[in-house]
Amino acid sequence: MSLLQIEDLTVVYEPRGAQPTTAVDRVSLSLEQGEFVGLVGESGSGKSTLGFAITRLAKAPARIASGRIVFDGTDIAGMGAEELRAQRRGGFAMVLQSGMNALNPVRSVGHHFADVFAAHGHVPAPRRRARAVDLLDKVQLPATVLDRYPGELSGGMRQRVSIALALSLEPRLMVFDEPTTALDVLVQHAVMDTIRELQKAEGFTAVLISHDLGVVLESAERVAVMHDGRVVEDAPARELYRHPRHEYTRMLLSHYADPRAEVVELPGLSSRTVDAAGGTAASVRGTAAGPDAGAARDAVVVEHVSKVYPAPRRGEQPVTAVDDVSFTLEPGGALALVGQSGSGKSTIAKMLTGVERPTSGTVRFGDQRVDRMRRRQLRRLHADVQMVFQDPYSALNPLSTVEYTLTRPVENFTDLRGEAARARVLELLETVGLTPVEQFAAKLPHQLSGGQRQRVVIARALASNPQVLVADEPVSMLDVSLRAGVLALLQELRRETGVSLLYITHDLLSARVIADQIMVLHHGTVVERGETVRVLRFPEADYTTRLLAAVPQPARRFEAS
Amino acid sequence: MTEPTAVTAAGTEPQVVPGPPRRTSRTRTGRFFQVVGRGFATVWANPKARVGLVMLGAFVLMAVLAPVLAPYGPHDDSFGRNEAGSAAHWLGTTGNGEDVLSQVIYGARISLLVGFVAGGLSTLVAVVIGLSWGYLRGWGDDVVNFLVNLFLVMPGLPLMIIIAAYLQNGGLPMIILVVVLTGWAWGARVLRSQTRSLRSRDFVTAAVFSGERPARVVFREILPNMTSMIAASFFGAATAAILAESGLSFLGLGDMSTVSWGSMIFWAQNSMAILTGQWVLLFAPGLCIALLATSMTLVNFGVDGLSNPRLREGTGR
Amino acid sequence: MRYALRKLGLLLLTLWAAVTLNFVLPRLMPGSPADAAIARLSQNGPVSPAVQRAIEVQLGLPDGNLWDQYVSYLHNVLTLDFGVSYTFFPQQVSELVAAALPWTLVMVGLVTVVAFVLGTLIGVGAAWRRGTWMDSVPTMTGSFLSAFPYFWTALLILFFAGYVAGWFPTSGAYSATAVPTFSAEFVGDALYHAALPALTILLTSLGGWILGMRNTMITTLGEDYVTFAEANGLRGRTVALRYAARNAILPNLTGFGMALGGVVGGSLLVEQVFNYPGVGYLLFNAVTNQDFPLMQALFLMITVSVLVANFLVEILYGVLDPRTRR
Repeated sequence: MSLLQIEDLTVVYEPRGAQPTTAVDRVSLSLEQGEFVGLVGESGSGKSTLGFAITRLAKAPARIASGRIVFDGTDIAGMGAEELRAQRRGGFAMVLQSGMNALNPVRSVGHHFADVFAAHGHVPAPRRRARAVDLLDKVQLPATVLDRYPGELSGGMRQRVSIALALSLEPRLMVFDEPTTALDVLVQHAVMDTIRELQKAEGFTAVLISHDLGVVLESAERVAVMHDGRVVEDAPARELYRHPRHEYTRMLLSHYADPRAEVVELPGLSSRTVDAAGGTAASVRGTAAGPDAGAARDAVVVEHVSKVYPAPRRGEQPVTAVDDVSFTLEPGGALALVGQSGSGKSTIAKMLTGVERPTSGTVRFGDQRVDRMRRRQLRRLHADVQMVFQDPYSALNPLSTVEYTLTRPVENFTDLRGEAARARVLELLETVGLTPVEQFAAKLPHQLSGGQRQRVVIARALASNPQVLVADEPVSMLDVSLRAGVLALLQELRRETGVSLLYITHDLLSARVIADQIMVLHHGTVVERGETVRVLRFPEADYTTRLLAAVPQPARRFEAS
Repeated sequence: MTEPTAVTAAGTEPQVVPGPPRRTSRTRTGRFFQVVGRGFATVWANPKARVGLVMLGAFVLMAVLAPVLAPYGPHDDSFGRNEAGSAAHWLGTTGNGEDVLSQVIYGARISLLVGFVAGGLSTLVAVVIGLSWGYLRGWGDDVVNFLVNLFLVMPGLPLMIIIAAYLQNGGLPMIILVVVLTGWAWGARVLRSQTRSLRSRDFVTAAVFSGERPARVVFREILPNMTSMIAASFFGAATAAILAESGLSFLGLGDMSTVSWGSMIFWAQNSMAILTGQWVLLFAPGLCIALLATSMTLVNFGVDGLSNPRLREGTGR
Repeated sequence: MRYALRKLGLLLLTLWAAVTLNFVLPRLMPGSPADAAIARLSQNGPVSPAVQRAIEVQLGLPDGNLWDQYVSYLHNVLTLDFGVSYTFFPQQVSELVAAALPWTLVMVGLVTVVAFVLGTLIGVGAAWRRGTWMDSVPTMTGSFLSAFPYFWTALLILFFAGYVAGWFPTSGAYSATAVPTFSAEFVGDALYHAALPALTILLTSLGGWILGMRNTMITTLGEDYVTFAEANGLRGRTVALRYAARNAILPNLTGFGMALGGVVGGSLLVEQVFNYPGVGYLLFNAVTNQDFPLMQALFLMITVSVLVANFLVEILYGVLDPRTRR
């Protein structure tokens, strides 16, 4: 008999005063004892809703409309409150998305364990501390963590603590809901390793919910792919990787590639652009046969730049975000800055655009000193140096129409007014592929999808015909399937307008396809730099190698063996 | 354009179908009225707020139509003194021989006037200080923080009482001034933290990158996103102003020549209305104050719902 | 410790600002409060130069040396020398204040704390049982009661419980025959007299605490740590109190500190209605008689009490929130 049997489950969201939506649509799935199953889907696929339903944590406005969830022979819908609570030990447990907020900020880690032990009474009082230490050891944390408060731990440590807490319940089924999403790449990798090892050692059944098929394929034995509330494919991992049957699965898989490979292809990015990654900045400029508009003439030169922020609290050390970094972004070139959060890459972008001033060193754009500019000069600089933001949901004023958003930079930076300005706005929409342009111009941000919003953000950045685009993680908030489209657009813009691009990312694959040159940053210093292809294929720095190893690589697992 | 159409055609992106519903107006005033209209509809949709709006509307009508509604003038003291309720004087007469019902109706004018003017002015001060304090960083931050906190923890009514005592008989403008002086700090603090959080949103930085000047960033990008908070702090400040006015009048520190609900209770207490059994004199104006304040509290239940619009739809996983 | 020291520093700074405000206010006013005061005093007989000097320091004469006055004023405040009351001539202001202050501090202070604790508990219950009668009844009654003007609630209670039913005394802090000592008899008598004013303050301030706690608690109930605690099978009571309420209390405590001034202001009116011989009643007497020295001293005492109470609340906050300990 299966440990968990989901039969024809439908979950609907019924928010007050809004249309009900079906989040999970007639899903049937069964999990065997000791299995490691991955549940993959993009945002809105219903995967988290399903995860909450099977652990009976779904709350209004979510409602189970039909179907059954049978755990170990019992329909969990029929459990009374106390019965449900009692079986959380030895039954099903859940690790929440981003363990950041899963711990009570005013209780120490030790108290968290004590609360669980007291609630179930399965560990006698004298042995509780030893047991907690033991559990922490399993997730590779020292015993000293017990006396710390969640606010004093890093994100990765907090996620490990919540895994240890869930583990303390000795569950037979453990649901991991995006356990590593909010964490840094290297930490993500390490936490996933821990989860895999624990599952092997403890033998619980694991459900790994993730938007990242790569991560899931690396860990799970079996993968269920969800799309629009339905499970469209359910197959052993190897088979799903080798012979995906559903079109949607194939589409997801097509967006994975090894940044170290000789040839990297992503859908929508023409092979020509991939070839161009082998060229130098100069050769890219050579292909910039487009009209005069915006073609970069000036280089950005950064020399010995450092940025030190004052200590966050008295008695602590000041924070050195960027430490003696120099580089040149040639006109028409594309340079990727890669690194984890805290590597200083975003701080460099801020200094380049005049948002922050360097503590020492110089930033020049053409013959202007960016680091010394006053507000008025910065306004002029922004006609030439523009920015594409990370989060398309916060980069647009929710109350302004697309037309207003795009008209402002056109009027501020060009002589176009009235009808001419409007024509320019429509032209920009055309450029970023938002057609029919008239309809998109009249829309408000909440009427657009994430990918469409990001295109508006790019259109706004192009309004002044800039020479330089600084793109700070422009695709990291988008679903995998939409990333290639936005990357292709950036690539296209470079080719057509000859704009220089500073591309900031933690994602080596996108850096590989979009940038000619790459700089790997770690703790504010450059650890490696050079042509993208060379650095990624034949890394010299140890840190680059580690970053590369952390990129999810289903190919490695299935093809090496 | 080599658009990756194959990707979007796979249907992963929740395509928003361009359709006829909800046209967005082109002109700015048109958009403004649309936003206001939509906001009103949202508030109206809340049952509690609907009750509040109806009550508030009734009080406004009462104040505006006072000369029509009231059977006598508010200062007409040509009637018998301390009369109980009768057909001619539904709520009886005061110790000075004035009609109580007429005074109650006219009293709405003072309370609403003080509520709206003082509430509006303190909201204005709160908006100006809150926004600039939240947007400009660095200099003066600690000083403003200290000043706002000072006004927040300073007990308002005693301050009003002594200011009113120094300014003998300053009349209504004095009351309004005092209420504004002691009432702006809370709104400023709330709006400051909201400005802070909006300021860190990318669209504000993006506006700077679009070449917008600071004033335009603050008033065109940030301010409209705080409409609901401003409305909430207006109603909060108006409620406080109404209660403060009635308290000062009750102590005899208001403008005693005008008829307000607070001053009615002051005179009633002076004439020992409780002992003479004329409790209506105390009860009726007090109930009006309580109902007016309640109506604004209820409206705020709906306004709170405004600050949680569906702007974040689609971010969930 | 650093947190507490910083708060202490802020308290001292705020106290100084309040004292200075008290100095500046009469000098900002149109007309001359000082002239009015001298005119008022000369009714009692000739005004000696010493008294005139005292008035100048307190209220300011147009031609005086400001700095000089300020220094003397600060000295007077620190030595609690507020001069002579005009109303209760020739009693010292400090004696009058000292007689009134304990009544207010004990009655208002106790009731406020009780109201906050009670309101918070009800708010926790309302949020935990959201959508049931345990939520709607207290929230609706609470928001209705808190919209009542303090003095009106006081009058209602005075009328119904005092005059109509006659259960409780209608004025004063103790019976005219009682001798103020710390005997059980006297304390009982005082409590009996304090019942109605206390009930008024309790009823009127309760709603705010219920609503505040309910709303923040609903927010914390949506936090991940609450869901996770539930997923770990903790008991309902533990989740509600140690996880949700324990975090919701923090912002509410800040709100409590901020709202203290309002409660104290309201209770001044309540004292006036019940003829309770506290600070509010005295302040009202001072105001109607234009007794500026008494008024100033009372305002200062009220402000200092509120500021100190607020400081204590902040210290409590620091104890409850581990994040301030770093």
